Amino acid sequence: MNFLDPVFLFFFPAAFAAVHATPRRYRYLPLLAASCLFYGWRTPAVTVIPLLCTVWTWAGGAALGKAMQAEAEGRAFPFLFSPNVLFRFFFLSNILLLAVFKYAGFFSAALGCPLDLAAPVGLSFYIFQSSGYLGSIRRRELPPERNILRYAAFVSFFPTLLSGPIQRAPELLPQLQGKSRTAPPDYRTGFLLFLWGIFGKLVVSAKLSAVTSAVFASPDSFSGAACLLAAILLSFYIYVDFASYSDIAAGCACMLGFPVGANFRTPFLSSSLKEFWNRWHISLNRWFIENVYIPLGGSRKGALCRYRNVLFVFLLSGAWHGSAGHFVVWGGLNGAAMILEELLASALRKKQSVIEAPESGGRLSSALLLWLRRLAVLLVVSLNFIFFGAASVRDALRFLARILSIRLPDITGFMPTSLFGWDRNVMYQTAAAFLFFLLVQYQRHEEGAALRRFQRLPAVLRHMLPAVILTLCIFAACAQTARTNTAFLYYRF
Amino acid sequence: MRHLSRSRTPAHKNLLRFLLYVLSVSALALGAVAGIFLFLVARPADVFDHSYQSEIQVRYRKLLRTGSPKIIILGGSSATYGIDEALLEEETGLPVVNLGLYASFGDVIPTELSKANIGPGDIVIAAYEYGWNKEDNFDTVGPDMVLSGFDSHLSMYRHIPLRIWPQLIGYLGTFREKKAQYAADPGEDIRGTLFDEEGRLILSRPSGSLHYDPDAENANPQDVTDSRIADDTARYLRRYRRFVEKHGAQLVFTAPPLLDKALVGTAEDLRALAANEESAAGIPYISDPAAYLYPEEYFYDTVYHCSEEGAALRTRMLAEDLRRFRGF
Repeated sequence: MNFLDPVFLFFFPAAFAAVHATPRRYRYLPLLAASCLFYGWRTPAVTVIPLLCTVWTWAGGAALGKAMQAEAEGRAFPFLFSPNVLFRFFFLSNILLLAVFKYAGFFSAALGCPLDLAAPVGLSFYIFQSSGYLGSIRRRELPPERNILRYAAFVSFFPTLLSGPIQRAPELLPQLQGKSRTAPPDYRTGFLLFLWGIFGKLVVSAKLSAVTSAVFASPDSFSGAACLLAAILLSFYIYVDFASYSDIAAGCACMLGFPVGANFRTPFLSSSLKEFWNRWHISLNRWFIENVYIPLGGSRKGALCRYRNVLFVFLLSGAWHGSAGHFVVWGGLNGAAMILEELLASALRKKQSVIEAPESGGRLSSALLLWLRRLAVLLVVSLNFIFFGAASVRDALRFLARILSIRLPDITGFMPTSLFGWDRNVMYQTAAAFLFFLLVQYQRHEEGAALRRFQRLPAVLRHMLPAVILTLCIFAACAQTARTNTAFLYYRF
Repeated sequence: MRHLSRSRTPAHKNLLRFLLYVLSVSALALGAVAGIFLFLVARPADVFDHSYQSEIQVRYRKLLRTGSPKIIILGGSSATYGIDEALLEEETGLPVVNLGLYASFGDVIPTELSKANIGPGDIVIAAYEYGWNKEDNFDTVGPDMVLSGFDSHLSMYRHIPLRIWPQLIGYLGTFREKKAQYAADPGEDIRGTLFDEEGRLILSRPSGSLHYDPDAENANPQDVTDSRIADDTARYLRRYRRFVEKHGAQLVFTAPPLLDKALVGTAEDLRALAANEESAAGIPYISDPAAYLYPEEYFYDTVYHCSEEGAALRTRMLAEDLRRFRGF
């Protein structure tokens, strides 16, 4: 099941009722049942692998906890191995499961005996969440969860199960344990988030996808300027699709009474690549930082070590997206760009007094500079995303060559309707939906600001505006009834 | 007497306010969708009056005013071109209501429309064109046909099953444009040319008009080698059969007429398909489908459209099948 399956319209209210009808400290039980139903709806057998992973990591957490306790008390290790060895064993074996599913096909094909091993949907996120739990125990952020059912409810938390955001155990487990929060959850915020995510997916992302897939399928049919615009739209498409999914997930979680954090914070308002990656897929970046970057040494062992770790994390992130080479290249390019940015920034800081204009004037206004930097970030990220969106490294290089072949006539003679099958109506609709989406997302760049503005509106508008969004979503969903692909972009990771 | 007061906690009140909010937003949205649908469909009225598919309105009205017992035919345009209604009435002594107009409506549409008036003694003859048994085919409608065929006749829309509505709503944007174009220029009166006031086809269809080229782009070969019946379709037909029988009527299957050269498969494949249809839906198949394969001379312009002679032949065969089945 996914959020756009018609059956979800019946499933979620039932899950909502079951969860809220249960006393708070036992809500993990209906939540676990709902998560199993959500995941195994079409094929119950797919729940086997996540179930094994759950039991394995729960046992690993329990063993790790006992070993850490023994270490703290100066006793002999109950399982003969130190906490570090136990942690690495359980953590890496869990990750190995993911690696097997992701790369078995690649390596077996290279060895001449192709093996078709389809990973259960969302396995990556399941494994990251359970591995992160082990990491949290090791870092003493929380004790091991004794109740395996509650732990299972955490790992299988259905709003974020398939494509994240990856939940940190110290944030979600206490909620499942029924520990009180400072304020009751705002269910209405959850509903608005959910609705906004559906709008982003059905209306905006679908339109952007139509444009980018047409150009990436046949770049030679389009001018260099069109290819450049398509590359920029691709990065926005990935953002809209994934951010919308994250909003739907966060909205569902909030309505169930278990609010989760944001996964994107208007990344295209970033004025540096470092800022961009702090705002993009926040939960995954945080996971890589806590479980890969910092254990490797982070920034603690000098600049060269830091650059190595940054590059390694980005390469790993690229490899996680897929076994195909273009994903790894994409990751590597992002890592290299980050390092280059830092080197440039460092060099510029040393020469800052040289570039400062004299007092009489000539200094670029800070606002203009800020938007130029944002544009630079957008361009770098978009050019790198070509390797993400293309089918292979060769296709990506071909696409890039098309962009680099831009001449002045390409720009002056560029017709935007060429990207929309020469249909002006489709172009206007896409532009309107996209700009509206960006406008609202811009309001959200300051956390809670958009919501506060919304709550200050008259009651009529607080009802009408979401009703208009929902109406557009209904029409968009109905228009797609002939289409079969409602899968979110990140399902395949 | 102790009074038990049920006071709501703040958490309950919060939850209740939230549920009311969701319900009100959802109601507003659904109301907007319904309002937009009605606005686009109802005004201006009867824009597609000259179209072929609008003939379904005449046939529907005939269904409503025809008492029982009667014969109701379901299918596509093969039923319009392949049934001489006057001849069938003569052969069976029963009035005939032919809801088979255009396969592009989707098989589910005439089937659902028929429910408007089924009474004791009626015979409902399902003569769907081949391919309906495949996954999702039965439920796939042509939203353009339904919206332009039903047009502003709102009472007909109540027969459309809920699961079909998304297809219609999704088409509304395009329908709006088509309606504007058609209102500006309705073109020739196709309906008036093809049908009389009773909804009978009066088009002259001489035999030997069709010259079939199997390699042509519009050859439309009919592949019957896969005789499986989709589970959802079988379930639907079983429910429909129970509906028909509950109203004192009978439901039977028959074969559509088909150009023999257009068949992909054998006579045995056809019979296997018929047998599967009978067992999956519990609906008797009263014909030998292989007998409804005709040579080119009995067709007019497509592999399913009989000439007048072909229609007469098919009608007599159908009447004979009905006699055998019902003993007229």
